[in-house]
Amino acid sequence: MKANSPSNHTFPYILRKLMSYAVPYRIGFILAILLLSAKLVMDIGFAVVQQVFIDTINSSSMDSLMRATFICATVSAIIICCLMVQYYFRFVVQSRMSWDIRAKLFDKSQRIPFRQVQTMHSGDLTSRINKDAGMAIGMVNSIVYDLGYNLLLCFVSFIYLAQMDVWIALLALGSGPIVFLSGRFFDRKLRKLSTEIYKKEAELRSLLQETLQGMKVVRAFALEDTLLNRYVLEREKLNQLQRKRTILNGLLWQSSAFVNNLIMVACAGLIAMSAMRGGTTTGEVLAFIILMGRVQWPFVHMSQTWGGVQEALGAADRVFDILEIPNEGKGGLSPEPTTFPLASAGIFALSLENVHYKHPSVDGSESSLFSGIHLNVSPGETIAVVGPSGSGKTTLVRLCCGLYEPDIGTISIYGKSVQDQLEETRAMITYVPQNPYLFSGTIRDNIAFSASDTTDEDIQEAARLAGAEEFISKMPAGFDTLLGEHGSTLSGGQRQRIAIARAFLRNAPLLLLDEATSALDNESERIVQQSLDLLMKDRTTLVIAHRLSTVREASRIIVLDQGAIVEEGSHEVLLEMNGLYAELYNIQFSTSEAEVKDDVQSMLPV
Amino acid sequence: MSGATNGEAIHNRTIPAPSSTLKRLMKLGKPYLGRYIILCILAAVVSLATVALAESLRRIINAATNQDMSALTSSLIFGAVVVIVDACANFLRTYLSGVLEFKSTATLQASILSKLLKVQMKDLDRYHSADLISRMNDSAVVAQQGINQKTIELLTNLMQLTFLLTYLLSLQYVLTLGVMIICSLVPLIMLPFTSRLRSMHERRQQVESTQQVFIQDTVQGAEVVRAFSLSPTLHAQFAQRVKQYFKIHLPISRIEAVGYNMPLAVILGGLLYVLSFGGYLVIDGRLDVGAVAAFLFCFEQITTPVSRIANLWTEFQASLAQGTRLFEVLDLQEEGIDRESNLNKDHKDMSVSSNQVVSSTHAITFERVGFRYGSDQVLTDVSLSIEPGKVTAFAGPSGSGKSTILNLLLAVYEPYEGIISNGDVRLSTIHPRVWRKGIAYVSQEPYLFSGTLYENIAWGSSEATREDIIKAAQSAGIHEFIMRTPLQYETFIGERGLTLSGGERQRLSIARAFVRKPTLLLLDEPTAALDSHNEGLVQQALQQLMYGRTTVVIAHRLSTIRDADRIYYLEAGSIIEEGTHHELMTSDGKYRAMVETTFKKDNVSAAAMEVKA
Repeated sequence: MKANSPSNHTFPYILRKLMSYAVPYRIGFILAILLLSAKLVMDIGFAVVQQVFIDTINSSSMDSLMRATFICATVSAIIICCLMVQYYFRFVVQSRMSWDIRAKLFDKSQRIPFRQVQTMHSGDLTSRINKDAGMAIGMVNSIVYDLGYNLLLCFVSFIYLAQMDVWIALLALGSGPIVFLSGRFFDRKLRKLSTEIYKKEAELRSLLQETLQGMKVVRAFALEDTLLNRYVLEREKLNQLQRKRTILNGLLWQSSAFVNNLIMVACAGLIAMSAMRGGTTTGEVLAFIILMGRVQWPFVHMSQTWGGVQEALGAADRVFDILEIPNEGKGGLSPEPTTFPLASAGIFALSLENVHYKHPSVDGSESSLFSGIHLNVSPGETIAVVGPSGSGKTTLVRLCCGLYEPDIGTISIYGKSVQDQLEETRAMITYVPQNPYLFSGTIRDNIAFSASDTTDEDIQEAARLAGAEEFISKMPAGFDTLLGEHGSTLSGGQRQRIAIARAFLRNAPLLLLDEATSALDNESERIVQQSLDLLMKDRTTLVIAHRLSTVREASRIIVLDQGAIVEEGSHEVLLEMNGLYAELYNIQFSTSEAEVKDDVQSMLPV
Repeated sequence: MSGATNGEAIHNRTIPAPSSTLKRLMKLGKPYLGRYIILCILAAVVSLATVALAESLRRIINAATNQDMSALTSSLIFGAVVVIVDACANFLRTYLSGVLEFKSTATLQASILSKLLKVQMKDLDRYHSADLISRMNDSAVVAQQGINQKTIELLTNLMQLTFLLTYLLSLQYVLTLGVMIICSLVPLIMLPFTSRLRSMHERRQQVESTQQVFIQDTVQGAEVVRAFSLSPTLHAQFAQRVKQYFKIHLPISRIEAVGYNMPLAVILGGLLYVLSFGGYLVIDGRLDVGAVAAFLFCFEQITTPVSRIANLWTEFQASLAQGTRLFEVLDLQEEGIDRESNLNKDHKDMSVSSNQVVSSTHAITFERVGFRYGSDQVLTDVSLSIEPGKVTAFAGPSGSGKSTILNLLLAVYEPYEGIISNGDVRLSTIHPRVWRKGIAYVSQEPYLFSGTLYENIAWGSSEATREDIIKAAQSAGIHEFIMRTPLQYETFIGERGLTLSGGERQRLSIARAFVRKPTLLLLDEPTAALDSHNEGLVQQALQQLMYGRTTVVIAHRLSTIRDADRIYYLEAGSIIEEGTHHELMTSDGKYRAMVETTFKKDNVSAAAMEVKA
């Protein structure tokens, strides 16, 4: 899959894309660039000022010495203020940009097709948002500020130097590219290596995440040592990669510095020789040596920064791999909330026409799950879906709310195609999955999360209808009680009631319900069942049924087997057919009746 | 746990003095002392080389001024040698300090993880996994850098400064003294900001980790996020947090902007001082121009160490702040520490004193056990007995304390009051890890790790052979399924095994329990999340697993608890009724009421009529 094997984007492409994040902050960005000229003045001025001073000293003029000191002090103060402002803008813009790209990635992570998300480890995706995004933006800054500045510095110094001696200036300038190019040998290796490093870091994060989230199992099975060893082992692999990177970086940095120092000594020798032949003053020699450094050091810096850029490119690849995955659905982004065409006659609440769908299985190969399924649900109907495990019940529901996209055929909700108008159709659906997913945060946030502008009364009403009000009011902070990770502080029944409260608040006409089997104790089950009945009332419902009462009360039951609807009809009709439904019924639903009989027997006086 | 709770924790915590955090950070560096020394020596070489380079340039200029060709040649050779030495020493230094950094960070991270694997569960419950990860991945790195890189860099720069100043002192002491005074101003200027900056760094990191918690939750909740079209809401929340972040980040940036540029002020000041005062001395005839020139060149060299030292100070504050976050976790109490102190003092070695696993012949008894979670009294005065080889079941409404009893048996919680013992050995004298050796735990929602099917079963026991694992898979009824997958036992399952169905996951976790060959089996509603078809399969596997083992089971399904040898009915943390199913049904109490309500909807009365008829 694409996101797992980072593709190499071209450098200009990445740079262009990343630079576009600077557009909203162009004023600060440009200001920071302009203020860099203060630095330029300082760096060049260093040499000039020294020359001026030394020549002033040589001319033994106390007055001009005083004047020079005063002017320089004023200029210095201005420069320092400029640099402070520059620093501030540079880094604030940088972190603004990083957070923007993070926000974009975050947003994207919610829009890429669910199927694709399932193939990625959440730790990997999280790591890309947290870490790689920042690295990529850091690159833009080092290119613009460090590379750009150094290039400019070396150009200005060259002009200054050339006024003194064109040949030596050319020599210094000519040696610069040698310094720079001597480092380019490492580029490709650095980029490849850094991609591997980021990947390994994401893997480590995934491992940590699994270990921490499964802590109880880890403890119960005494996996501490095994997992620790695995972590240390994987971390050691990361270490090896980082060690390689250090060697490469060390070679890159030192080779540039070495070549540069060597050239500097050589040039110093040359200028000294020219001084011996007469023609240059001591002050000039000094200024020359310092200026030569100015022409050359930028190349060293550039060479080193370029290495850093290669590393960041690895991160950028990982970021753009995600950003380039096409969004799910074909429609635009979050539309205005639509009014539901509820009453219009002749429109099916839910309609599947000739839906084909292939599902990736455990090994990654695709197996055909649905091949041409048809289903029409009229408004107000309650459809119960039954079938053996693996028959595609959950997939059917996920197709209906656009989590999966059918390969052929259309699914429409109140006449609107799910594929074409994803957001509109989703607004008409409430999906209650089997395991309610809760976010860390307050109970209120968890109930109200999908509906904007809800009042406290609405939330309380929804909680009351869902049978959740009682336990919530018993909590120390009521609706403001903070929930643990994935709602871990609540019991299964409580979590489910919160999920139902969400559904009440959402108030969408079509309810897709993946009925919880019986993860609940009897008391909560009764409450949950009551609130579900209330929820299904007046709504069109497609429910994956595990309960006898649900199938009995459904207006229609469809029986799925291996991705096809094999039987359809009411409970009584289907039982009489004595087919798969009857068989399932005997395994699934009749056991509880048998149990009751036994219990009643045991209750009777012997 | 959510960031807000952590915020609370931070709030209540007294922020430790920087010196103590620093001391502890330093302590972390102790094992690497030898390497530090080598690095310092290399730093000294590099510093010397810097001075020598300046000296060689001075000689070149002097040679030029004096028209001395042989001196020029020798100084050129000298310069070349210095450049080579400098490059070699620099490379070695980069390499060694890099390796040292990765190594020490890795060690620190491993030690945090190993700590996290040992701390008490109830402490751990307070942290969100993403928050802990951020502490390991971000805080540990920055904190460790604080001691390695920053300290060494500080030393290097100080050394470089010393060499340069000594060299300058030998050239001209009046000028040098002035420079020294100006240089020492740097730390003085930044001092007033220290504590503010550090606490701001801490708060900023807090916001950042809250954001990470949020991101991780959202990514893991992909299904719900899509189905409910949450992305606009979440996006707004994300932006809200970013706003919060910048509220702290902007002042930090302002201070840093001043901090990073302060040294420049000093450098420029120093330069002006040298030029003007030096110039005055020259004009006065007390100094020659060459000396001022050499001085100036050296002064250029000084600028780097001086600005580095000042920047290091700013960066160091970040390290200290991250160190605080780190030590907060490292200071959490480990489980079993209390237990250890209960042991005989002369038995320091736990494996000797408490190699007590669950006894297969003695009952596990609770005597007046109470447990609190925060201020919530979860269990009150619970006394019970779990007979060896028998099945003990717990029933009761949700929140009645059933799971807490399981957690106490698993020793992830410790009783707040009362005694749990196995035979005549108190559980509190046994190290939890030893105790758990005899236990297998099957939870409601099986937790699998990404890895191969084989690995996931093998997690049960480190000593299991391939045959053991295949046998366990067969007993758990998952072998046929595994053989049907393309790579069989080597098939890779993704995050938490979500690519498998619930029944397959549960059977894998039962196979894991089989491999463990436990004496005590803890079942937390293992069939609850399954449909009836899968429930049948899993139930069969469980029957096999329970055979001949002490079993404790929590269940709502009648079929699971009906055959238990003893049932405890709990309500609000107390045992209300106990007995066999038959006894409890005849006694007409809460248990019977529960059984009856369960099946009311399935027409108990009708069924009863039928039976009567």
